[in-house]
Amino acid sequence: MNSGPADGALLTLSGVEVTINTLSGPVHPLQGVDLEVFPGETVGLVGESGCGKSMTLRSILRLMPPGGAITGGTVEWQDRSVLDLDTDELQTYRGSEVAMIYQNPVTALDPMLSVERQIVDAFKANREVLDGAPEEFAREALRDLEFGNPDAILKRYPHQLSGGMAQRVNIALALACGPSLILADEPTTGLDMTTQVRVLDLLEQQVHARNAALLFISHDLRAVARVARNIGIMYAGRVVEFGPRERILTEPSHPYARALLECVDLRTDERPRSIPGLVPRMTEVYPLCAFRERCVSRMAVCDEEPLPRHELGGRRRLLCHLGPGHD
Amino acid sequence: MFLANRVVVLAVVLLAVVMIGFTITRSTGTPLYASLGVAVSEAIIEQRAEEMGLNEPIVVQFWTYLTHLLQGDLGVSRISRIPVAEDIALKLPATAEMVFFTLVVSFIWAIPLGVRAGLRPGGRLAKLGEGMAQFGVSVPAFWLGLLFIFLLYFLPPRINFVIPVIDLAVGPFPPLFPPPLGRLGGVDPPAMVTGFYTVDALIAGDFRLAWEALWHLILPAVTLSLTSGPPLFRVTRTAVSEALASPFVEAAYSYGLGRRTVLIRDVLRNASPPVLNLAAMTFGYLIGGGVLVEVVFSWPGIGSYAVWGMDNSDYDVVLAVVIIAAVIYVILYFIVDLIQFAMDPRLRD
Ligand SMILES: Nc1ncnc2c1ncn2[C@@H]1O[C@H](COP(=O)(O)OP(=O)(O)O)[C@@H](O)[C@H]1O
Ligand code: SF4
Ligand SMILES: [Mg+2]
Repeated sequence: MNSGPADGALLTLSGVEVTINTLSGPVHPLQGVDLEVFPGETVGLVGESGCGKSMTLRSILRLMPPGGAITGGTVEWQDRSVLDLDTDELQTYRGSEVAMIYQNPVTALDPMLSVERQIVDAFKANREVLDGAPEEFAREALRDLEFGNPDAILKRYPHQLSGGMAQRVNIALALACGPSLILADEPTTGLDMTTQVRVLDLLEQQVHARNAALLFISHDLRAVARVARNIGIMYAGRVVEFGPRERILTEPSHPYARALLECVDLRTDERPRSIPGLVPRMTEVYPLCAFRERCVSRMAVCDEEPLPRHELGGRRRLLCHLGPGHD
Repeated sequence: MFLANRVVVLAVVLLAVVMIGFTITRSTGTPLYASLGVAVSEAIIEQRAEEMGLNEPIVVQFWTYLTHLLQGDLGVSRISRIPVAEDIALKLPATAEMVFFTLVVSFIWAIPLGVRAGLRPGGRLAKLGEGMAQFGVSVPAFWLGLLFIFLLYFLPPRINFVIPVIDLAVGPFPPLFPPPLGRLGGVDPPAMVTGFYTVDALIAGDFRLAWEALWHLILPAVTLSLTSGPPLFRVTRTAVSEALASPFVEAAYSYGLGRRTVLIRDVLRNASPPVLNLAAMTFGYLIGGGVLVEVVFSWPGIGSYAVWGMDNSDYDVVLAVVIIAAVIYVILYFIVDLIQFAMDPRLRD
């Protein structure tokens, strides 16, 4: 399974598994995630809530919740193994190479520190030499995010920011570290429609201006379709289908991808319907297809054989017994 | 605005304490027999009652008490005939010093162990802290004080025997701590500056005396710390583990900030308000709540003074101690509010 880093990829996840030991027993949120991100590109991951999207991003930064550990697979940054980095190297990798934008912009900021202090500290942690006062950099960082009066914002505390402002501050913080990959965990989910569009536009624009890559995850296929050139469909701790946006949006192969697509009308803003059935609670490891109970195309082989993996050329990949050539 | 609000609330609280304390102490029997004995004639009692203003309506008596109180006059002990304010000026520093060192001891064990237990639940130090907390809440303070006195003062000089085969004489040992008879063992106290003997002795440049005062403080302070520290341990543990699990802590790590920076800048800062609050409350509580330990160690503090007042139905003494304890509580609360106001931007809006 572990095919090693893809040529030229910034980031390669192969067969990543995560186990969290909780009071009520182990949870297995990731059960073999494969994913590549190339320099400067935008990749989206989509799947229902609880599919392991956030955990995938956390495993990229090696930030595990209490009791959690990466128990299998590899995470490669260019040609280095992230799982083998020592404390100092990890600190450099976090922020300077890969930075993250969180789902809840207000709680991702320390409530007791000013915006200025938080941006300046992130700067200092990631830039060896600053040719100028860090406060000046912080002001510039906010100006990039279209804050009209950066000086006033710098003096504010998180509770004095609206959701949209707080998320722009978070983006400024992540970009301030100068990473070549930005991870965005549902960065606009908590915001209202107009603010969502504005923040997404700004994020894309700033990421592209810096030639950085973006790994964007959301439970909302429309948001992912807006920004990502390549899309991964995630289910029960695996990326079950991966391919170019046009392909995924027009003729997806995986029954789960098709079900997701049927639930939204990409041309309207209507609330998506939901797929019948529930995402598994991930308290077991699933060698067979975890989507079986909800799948409309389920076959006898799906109940007997472990999930196969089809490499379909280009960067297309499929984890399903149906294979690429059906209907 | 914040300040003005607080001051008004605190003034109302204090007034309520004075009213309730006054009503209770005045309605539990007459203080006359206490100061005169029972074998006196009606005429003398009547004359004394008139002198003491006890024939006035209770509202008038209260008003008199309150106006005197506002001028710093807490009445006169009916037994010793010494003004209560003078006695309190002597005894309050004794209690305050003991309580202060109690908190120092708690800051040495309860808070570091709480931080550690919050950072690493289930670790050895977390278990040690929880064990100490369990012990501390399950033994009475006066019992623990007696136990320490027995083991560390009384017992060592009485260990005296010979190990038979090797013919080795064991003991007697000198006591490890001084007798439980107050703040200094018969030595003259240092010149009064702060009323804390340790500090005053250092100011006078007398290190031996400072050491002596400290040595007398250790057992009562450790006793009170072990029994009042458990909530501090637990609140610290909870506050740290909650702060540690916050999204902003994960975010700080994700920007490449080091563990030490995140712990100090984010975790400890965000965990400190509840701990600070409880430390102040513990201090306030112990000013009056350390009575039994004061008695066990013959500590000449306001707790012992209140007990003495109660024994003699000396109501002004008891009431004064209640009021002083409340004033200290209120002042501490106010200081903590100010500190939190300075620390937490959310309170400033
Ligand atoms: N700290 C945790 N402890 C236990 N289980 C967790 C924890 N975090 C996530 N999980 C579980 O891992 C699975 C994946 O979670 P997550 O990655 O947050 O999903 P998503 O971001 O796709 O909604 C879920 O089943 C969730 O319940
Ligand atoms: S493997 Fe079988 S059950 Fe699973 S999605 Fe494919 S067809 Fe459905
Ligand atoms: Mg999530």
